[in-house]
Amino acid sequence: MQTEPNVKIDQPEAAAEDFEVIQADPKQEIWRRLKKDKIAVAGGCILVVVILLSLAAPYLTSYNPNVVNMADRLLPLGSPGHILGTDHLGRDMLTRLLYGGRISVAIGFTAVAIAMFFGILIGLLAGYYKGFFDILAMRFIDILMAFPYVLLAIAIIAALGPGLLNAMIAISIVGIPYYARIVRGTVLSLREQEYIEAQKALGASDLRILFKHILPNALSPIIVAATLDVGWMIIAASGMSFLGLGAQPPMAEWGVMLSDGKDFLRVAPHISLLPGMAIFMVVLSLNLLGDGLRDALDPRLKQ
Amino acid sequence: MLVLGLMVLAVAGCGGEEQALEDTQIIIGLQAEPTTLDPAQLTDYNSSRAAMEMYDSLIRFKDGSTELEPGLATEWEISDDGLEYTFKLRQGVKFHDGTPFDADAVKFNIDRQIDPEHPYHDTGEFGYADFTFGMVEEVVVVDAETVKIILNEPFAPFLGNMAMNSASMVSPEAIKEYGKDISQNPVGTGPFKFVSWNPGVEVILEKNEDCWRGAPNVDRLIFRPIVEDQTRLTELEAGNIDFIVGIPPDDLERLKDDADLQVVEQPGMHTWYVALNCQRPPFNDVRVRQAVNYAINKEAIVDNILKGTGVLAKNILPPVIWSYTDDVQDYSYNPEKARELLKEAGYDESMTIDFYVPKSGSGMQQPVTMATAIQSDLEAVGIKTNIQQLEWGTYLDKMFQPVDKSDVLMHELSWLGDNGDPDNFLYILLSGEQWPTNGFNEGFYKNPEVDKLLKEARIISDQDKRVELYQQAQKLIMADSPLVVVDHETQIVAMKKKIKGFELHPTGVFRFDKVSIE
Amino acid sequence: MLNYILKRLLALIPVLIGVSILVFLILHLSPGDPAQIMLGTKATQQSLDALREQLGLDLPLHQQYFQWITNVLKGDWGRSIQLKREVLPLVLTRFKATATLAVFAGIIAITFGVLAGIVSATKQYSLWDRLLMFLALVGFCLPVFWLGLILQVIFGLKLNWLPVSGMYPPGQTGLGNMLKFLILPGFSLATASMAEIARMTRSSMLEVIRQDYIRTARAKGLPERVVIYSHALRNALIPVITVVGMQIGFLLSGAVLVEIVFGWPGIGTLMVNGILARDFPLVQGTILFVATTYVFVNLIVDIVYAFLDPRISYN
Repeated sequence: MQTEPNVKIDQPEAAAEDFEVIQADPKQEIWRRLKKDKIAVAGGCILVVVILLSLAAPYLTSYNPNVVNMADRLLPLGSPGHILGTDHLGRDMLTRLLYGGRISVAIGFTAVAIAMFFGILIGLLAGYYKGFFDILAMRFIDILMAFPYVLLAIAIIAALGPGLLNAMIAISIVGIPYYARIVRGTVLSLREQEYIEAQKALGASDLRILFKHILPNALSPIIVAATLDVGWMIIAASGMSFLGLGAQPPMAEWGVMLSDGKDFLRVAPHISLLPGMAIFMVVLSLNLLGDGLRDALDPRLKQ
Repeated sequence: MLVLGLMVLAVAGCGGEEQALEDTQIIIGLQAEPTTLDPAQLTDYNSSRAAMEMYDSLIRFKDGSTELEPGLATEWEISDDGLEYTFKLRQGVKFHDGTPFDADAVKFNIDRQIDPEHPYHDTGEFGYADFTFGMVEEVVVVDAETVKIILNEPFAPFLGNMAMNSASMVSPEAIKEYGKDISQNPVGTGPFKFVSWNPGVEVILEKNEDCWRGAPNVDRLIFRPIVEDQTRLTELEAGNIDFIVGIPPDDLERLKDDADLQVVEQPGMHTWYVALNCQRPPFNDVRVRQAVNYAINKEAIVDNILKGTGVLAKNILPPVIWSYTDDVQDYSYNPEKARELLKEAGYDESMTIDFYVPKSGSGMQQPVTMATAIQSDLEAVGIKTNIQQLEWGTYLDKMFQPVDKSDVLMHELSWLGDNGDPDNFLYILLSGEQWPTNGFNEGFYKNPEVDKLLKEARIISDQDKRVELYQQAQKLIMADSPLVVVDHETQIVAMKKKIKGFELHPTGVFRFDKVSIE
Repeated sequence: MLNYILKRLLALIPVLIGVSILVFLILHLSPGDPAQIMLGTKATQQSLDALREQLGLDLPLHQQYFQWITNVLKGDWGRSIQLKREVLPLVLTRFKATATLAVFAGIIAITFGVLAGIVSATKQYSLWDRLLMFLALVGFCLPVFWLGLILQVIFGLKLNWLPVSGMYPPGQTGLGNMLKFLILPGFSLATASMAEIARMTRSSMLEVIRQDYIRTARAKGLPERVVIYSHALRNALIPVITVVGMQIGFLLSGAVLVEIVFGWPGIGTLMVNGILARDFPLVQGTILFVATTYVFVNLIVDIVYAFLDPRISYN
């Protein structure tokens, strides 16, 4: 459960270096196809660069993202000492963007990881054991799906109270139904098949059958969906911040920065334009990568 | 984008933009939708600004100040024991629905709020009833033009209470007709009368030709809720609306330079402060409290963070309230002195104090940013604080615990004045009788001498004597430094230049009755 | 078919019960005393007690739920603490505004999305295709509230073509007066859906164009326009309809953000204000109403599919 979620996406890249010669490996084949997709590669590169930059933030800037310096407020782009200017409290924009990237990207990935974990768990158990648990679980999923996406998140925040953590929990819950449904569908279609029956007869444990033989068949759509979802979660989290329901100032988070900046749209547009562009870039790169992954995993869909 | 452009042209082409200009109107952009137009239920500015154009009370605040003048009462008399207030009512005044205003209406309006047995007591939540009329024993109708209000104890600020929003006169017939929906169907005696309320869109009022104060010059007022500050600003600058509130500090300069616009400002009845728990170490030592006061650079907070949306406070009482004096101990920024005092008091520098801060809240201005500045000032003199942010609701719960249950040492809060009387700040916030859960002295300050002065000033009715007592109290309180007062928030509005004669009022309501349009 | 509809309707009952329980619990999962939070500092003990009684806060939880749900079914949705109005009529008025905005945005999204998709597909790899698909990708990745603010500055302030907030000119009503006010919020809301529909239309069209019957039609010498619009498009649109159905949820969600930016007097503004003001009867009412509506809209969409697509079996 605790696997770093972004490993899932980075893995193929790492794996590629090691197994370049083995042509028969299906993973290898997918990687080969993905590598040929220049747009997807570009998306992946942007994402990796953003992650690396935000991780390296303390080495790239000497400013503290939260320390207020009222003497230097609202400096424009290209000011000496502040390449990207400062915000309304005199905080260095570059620094806040870098540190903000940590939180925003982490929220996106963590929320997706939580949604995936519970979605997969519910889907596997419901599909495999059927019966009462299945009915209960699917009713629960139906109830979640009875709310339009963001509204479900808002409803959850209404109960838990505003805040970054609560907003993240809320948007992860919104993501659960999709994964649960994919996985359950796959389990249902596979569980009666001969080779699964054969495994059972050989005395394989339920756990082994579920994770070794069934789950891998659902992985392609899950990975593609997860990649696209991370972008959606980042936008959703920033939307919550914009409504005052998510991360709260003075935290450096792109959504907070954007909504802080909206009050200075005329005086100092860069305060909201920069985090807006940062969100846009990351979501764009995730979409490019996700589209590429979809094509690579299932070449029949490629036009 | 291209498509959007085409669409715009299409619409612009077919929409004839003629406007009938024979009648004058002012469109006001509010920060949020009014919640009620019943004066007895008002608790926020967006509502009172729209509602109070329609009402009068027996006594009025004068334009631009909290001094009192006759309203629906032409004269009044206070008995020697300070318990009986007899009001002579203005004759011939009619509510907008044509029913006459008389002594029965006064009794009805007050009883409705304070008497649980009153048949129309269930027509609303009267948040201010206890504050305004809590000391009222009985309202007696002497004759149609005379009403007598009997108090259960002498209470000098009572006349001020009679000028508060909640003491406005609503048509009893209308309350009987609409019940709880009086909120949306207001009927008063004021210069404007209600036309319509399209929820979320606008509240429309039109002039009352028969107003006893004379008909206003403007034909119509339209109040529109526009939540986003930037959107409201854009609407004003684009010329779609005439008048806005809630101007972002950084846009203020630009608006002032705009040839078509004017900005009007006035300090409000508001004080923003940090409260220190006077009953617990380290703040039970007056030297530590004074040190905190010297250590905080209040000037810098006002200049840099509030940027002209607040004025530096020297005293707990805002300058707009009578008896205000700035002849009190001066706590200008002086970190040296702070360090000295701390040393003298033997302050333990290894201590870390939790500083409670709401994430937002009414009158709190920029709670987190201001707290951050205060935190770094205190750190500079060796007082380490931990900012604890709470939601407004939870926050208030925690701040208003009784003294034996409270573990809060330091927190920030603000107070908005109600009746323009010094009692409303000094007694409520600092009397030893007003510790939670009785009142709002959440720093548990208690100085018997101050208590005696405040108590006396609230009983006697000799105005000059009251001023003297309050000024003494202010000096004593500021020397004890139970609160660090930072600023008084400034009310700022911007409007088109064509609007003439608008004046802000310390209570925060707008008065458009004397405004004209060029 | 009728059987199918009935079965779907029956299946809704447990969902709606679940939704109502979730909505009911919102009030009880919040920290702090709800009455105190709702009434604020200057509230008296008396009004606190009155509110507690009104909300039934002293009863055991399940009794509170039954009391609440009985009232809801009877049409008594309580009174908003903050706005001092009956919740149900308020929610209905506000939802009308939201629905208008969402439908308008939906029409924009479908019209321009499908058009762009067709152009892209028929001119695959042309400059137009690349430009449109790039724009679609951009549109898909922009936070809707940010786009709204930027459109405000461009079209409201700099060009001064359009009003940036509200629903009607002062003192007026009616759909005709609303149009000018709909354009900016409508486009902001439509952008992401438009992009999604354009992408879906393109890929669906491309798939259809490659199929045999299109080749046959072309081989028969039918004009290209006839081939595209009467043969290919009809079949290509079935998957697009699925995507359009999915957009309903996105449009309703996005409307919340767009309404705040443009001061559109819809249910989203009402809901968010309710949450920030801790006005629980209002919050519960708005969420319950939107969720219930959404459930039924989805049902209708499913039934429409069932009609349109003979491949779906009703059993």
